[in-house]
Amino acid sequence: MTQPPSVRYVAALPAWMRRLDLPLLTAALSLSLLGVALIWSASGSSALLSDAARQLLSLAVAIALGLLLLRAEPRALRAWAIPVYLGCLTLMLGTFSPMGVSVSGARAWLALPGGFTVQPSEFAKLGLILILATTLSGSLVTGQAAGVRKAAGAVGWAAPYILLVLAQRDTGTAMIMTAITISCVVISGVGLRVVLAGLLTAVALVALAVAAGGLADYQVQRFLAFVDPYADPYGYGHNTIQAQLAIGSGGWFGDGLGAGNQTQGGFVPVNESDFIFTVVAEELGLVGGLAVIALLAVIVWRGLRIALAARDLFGRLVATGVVAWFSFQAFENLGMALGIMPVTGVTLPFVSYGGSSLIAAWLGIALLQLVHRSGSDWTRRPVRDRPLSRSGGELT
Amino acid sequence: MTAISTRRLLVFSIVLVGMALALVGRLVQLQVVGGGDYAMAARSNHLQVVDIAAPRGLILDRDGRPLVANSTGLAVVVDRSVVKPDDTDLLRSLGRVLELDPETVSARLIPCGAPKAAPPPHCHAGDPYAPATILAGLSHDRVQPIVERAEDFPGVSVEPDSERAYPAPVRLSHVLGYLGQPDQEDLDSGRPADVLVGRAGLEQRYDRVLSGAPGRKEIRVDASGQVEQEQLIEAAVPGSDLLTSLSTKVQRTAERKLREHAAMVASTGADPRGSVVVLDVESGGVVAMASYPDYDPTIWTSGISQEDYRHLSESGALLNTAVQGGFAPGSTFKPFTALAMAQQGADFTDTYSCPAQYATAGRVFRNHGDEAYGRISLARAIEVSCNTAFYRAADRMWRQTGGDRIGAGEIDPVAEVAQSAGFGSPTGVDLAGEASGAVASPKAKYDLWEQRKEAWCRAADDGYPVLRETDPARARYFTEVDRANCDEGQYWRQGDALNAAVGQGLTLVTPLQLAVAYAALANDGQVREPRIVTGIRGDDGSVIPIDSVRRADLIGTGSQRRYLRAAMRRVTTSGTAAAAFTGFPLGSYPIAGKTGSAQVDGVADTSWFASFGPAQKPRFAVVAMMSEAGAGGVVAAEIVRAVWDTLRRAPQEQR
Repeated sequence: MTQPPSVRYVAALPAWMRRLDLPLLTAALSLSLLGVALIWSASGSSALLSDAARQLLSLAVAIALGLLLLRAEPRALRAWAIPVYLGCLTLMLGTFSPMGVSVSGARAWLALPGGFTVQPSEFAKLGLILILATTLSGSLVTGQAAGVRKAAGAVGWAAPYILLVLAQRDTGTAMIMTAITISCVVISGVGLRVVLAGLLTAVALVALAVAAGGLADYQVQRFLAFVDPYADPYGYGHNTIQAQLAIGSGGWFGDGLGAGNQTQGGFVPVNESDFIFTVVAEELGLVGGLAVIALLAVIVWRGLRIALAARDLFGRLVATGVVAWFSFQAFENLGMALGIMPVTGVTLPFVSYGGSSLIAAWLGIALLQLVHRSGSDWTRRPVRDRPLSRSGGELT
Repeated sequence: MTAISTRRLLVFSIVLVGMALALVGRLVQLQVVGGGDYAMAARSNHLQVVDIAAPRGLILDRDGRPLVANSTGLAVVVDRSVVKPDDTDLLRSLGRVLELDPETVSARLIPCGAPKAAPPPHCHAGDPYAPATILAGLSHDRVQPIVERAEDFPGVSVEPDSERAYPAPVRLSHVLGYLGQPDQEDLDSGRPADVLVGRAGLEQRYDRVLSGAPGRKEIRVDASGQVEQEQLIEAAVPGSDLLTSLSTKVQRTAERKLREHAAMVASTGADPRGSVVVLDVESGGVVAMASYPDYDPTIWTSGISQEDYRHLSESGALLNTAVQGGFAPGSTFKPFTALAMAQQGADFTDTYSCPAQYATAGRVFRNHGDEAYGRISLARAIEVSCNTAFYRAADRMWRQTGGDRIGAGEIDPVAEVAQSAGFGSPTGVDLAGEASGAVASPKAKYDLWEQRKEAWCRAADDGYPVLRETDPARARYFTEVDRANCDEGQYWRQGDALNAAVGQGLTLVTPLQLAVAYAALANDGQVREPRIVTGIRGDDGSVIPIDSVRRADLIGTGSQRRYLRAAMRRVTTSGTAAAAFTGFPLGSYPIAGKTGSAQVDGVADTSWFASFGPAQKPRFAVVAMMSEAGAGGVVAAEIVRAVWDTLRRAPQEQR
């Protein structure tokens, strides 16, 4: 009996590639290529192809680095957690050195020789996920670790990152890192009371910081503009208003790629990056917008599936971290374009212009694939450390 | 791994599904439900309909030379969506280039009526969404720094801007008028926000004719405001030109003489107002109309400063004395009294007694300087401006018409002729805001009493307590006058009739009214509405003529007017104005006229001279007036003489 062509094709692949999650890969690749097209449209005739071409180059590098990461032994990831964490920490500190570069108010970039810049906080998300998974899966906390100690450890590792990106005036990334941390702590199975206590403490700390005047003026203004963009239509409310005009004028099918008046007239600021969704929505309409959301949903769905099927808690937490990262960042990015979230400078994973963002996202895909490969096929043999009790209650 | 972890992962999945649904829901809401509105709003973002300015029509003198033209200046315009009133650095450097302080620049950005707006004209008038003009009427050199360093002035642009220019060597301030920013009323009536509106004089009266109609075009812009494409919707209709009967030469003389004499009068500590009006007797066209004080019309072109405006309105320079000032006409009124006398049966060929004084009803009425001439002809009485002859005649007429029993609603013969001559109502000249003046009559006196009696009675009861402290005699006099007015101010007394006969008392005329009446005397007795604009010339060169309207009223008969004309000729040769006309070729170019020295309480007489000429076939009527200037035979007659010198020398077609 001959095998179907696809199976034969898969069989021809090297062993490490054979067990890839293909829907995940396809969705990420589709989004990345769509992003290149949108960047080409958003940058208009002025920049010729250069922005889109640079993005295409970044995509090639991103996939290459992803493939390189795939060659790693899943176990090695634990060993890398601390070096990667410290490496990213050093790079982020470097942004405060003379090598640091500010873009639209956020000092989150490092200048590299040859005119390239790199945004360490993008890679720090990977470092954060690794250190969280390692800490929360118990490998760094010896003995019979209580949930409190694990959670405290996780927060202890996450705090320097979050404070650093806040110092870079990058509120969006701080929010996403917080979301990743909370997600990983919750999914690690730490007791609900610990989680709630931790959350309350965090809220209290934030409230205290705000009360002590820790909220910068731009943060207040952006929040006020979120509540009512028309209060300052030419200032902080401008982006939101123009974005909504662009999205709203797209209709069902859009004006066609390269034909959106808002996009081509340059009315929406940074629409090759933070506001790239406005380009899809205006030029490709509701159909295009839904397609982007659907592709992102495929990535999140495959990521969740991988997390569920993971062989061990470490793998599950790595997958959870990556899923939380992609989903919260995408939600924040799309939400601000749609006017249901305050404006913060975060990119739309895979789609927005920016090499660091794209490469980090693809390394995130690689992490998911690694977890996927190390876990056995969960549809046939669900992986559980311990059998679930019939009541579904926790067995310790 | 624990079951609780797996369960939480499932709950987490549900949360993520919820987030995805929120995004999809919002996307559908924006794109499908509200899509039309957003598309429309986005359209107005990049497609703008803008007005195309229509060039404003010119105002030309009788020879077709421009009195008001358009010149192209440069305006510094600020896009208010880019530049905010608190952009201090930019505003400061803009202020440095334009030589304005930053507060003034900043004030120009705030729409009038906004909470923190400066008062007009400093705030941004007109459409709150339109760019704000910081300063207009600028030369190339002034704006050079902005053009050269455009990158230092984001949102600031330099645009060509049409403004009014005044090439003729005359001011004509009140006649031409000026342009101002449209106010709320103009905008409500559909005027475009960026087109100036005529605010006074011909600019106001003929605003619709001069302004034409702006066109419209649709422009496509990108976010930086760069125009990508333009499409004409409607072409602009240029404004039409006004052809006028004004003579630059005559106007120039009138203004110069007014200024000279006003300066002399002012040097005595007085605060004179003056006016010269020259009419074409035949057509009713206004050849010259000057008023003092006046102002330089260019003061409005690049936006008048608050201080200048205050100065203008406080000094009264905005008032067009020729049509808005009311003055007692004095003896220039006597020809009309004479016509009333004739109507009442007096014979012009009789002799009239001209004693130094005329006593009646317990009062003594005097001649100027108490001079006595004995029995003289009426012509002589006009020539030497004998009051007593007219007093006696007025007294007789007053008795004939009923004396004290004359009804309160009636008018007497003198008032009747005065009204036929056009006094007491606007002449109908094509200028806005013309005053009516007043004609003394039993009715006028009664109306005044009705209006004022309460105040008079109250003042008489109070007895001027404050004034009594310092000047008891004067307070007593005032109290007596007020008491008399309170008790019997409604009656038309002998004294009222006598005063009215020599142009004193309640009668007030504008210089233009007197000129119109004298033009009627000079011509066929028919009163014409004076006209400044003789025709409207369209863009295609076609002219719509505007004719002067004749009123039905005739003053006097042909022989009466002939008699008066002959009498008034003697005023310039041997009468009260002879000195002023010394050296004037009266033989070949005879001038008929009448002086007036109207008494005003507390200040020197109002000096009048009203004339027409050449007397054998009058072409022009010339009237001059200056308040606080003394006898009419001096200041006013000298001004009029200078105007006649110009009229006489000017070639026929240029008069």
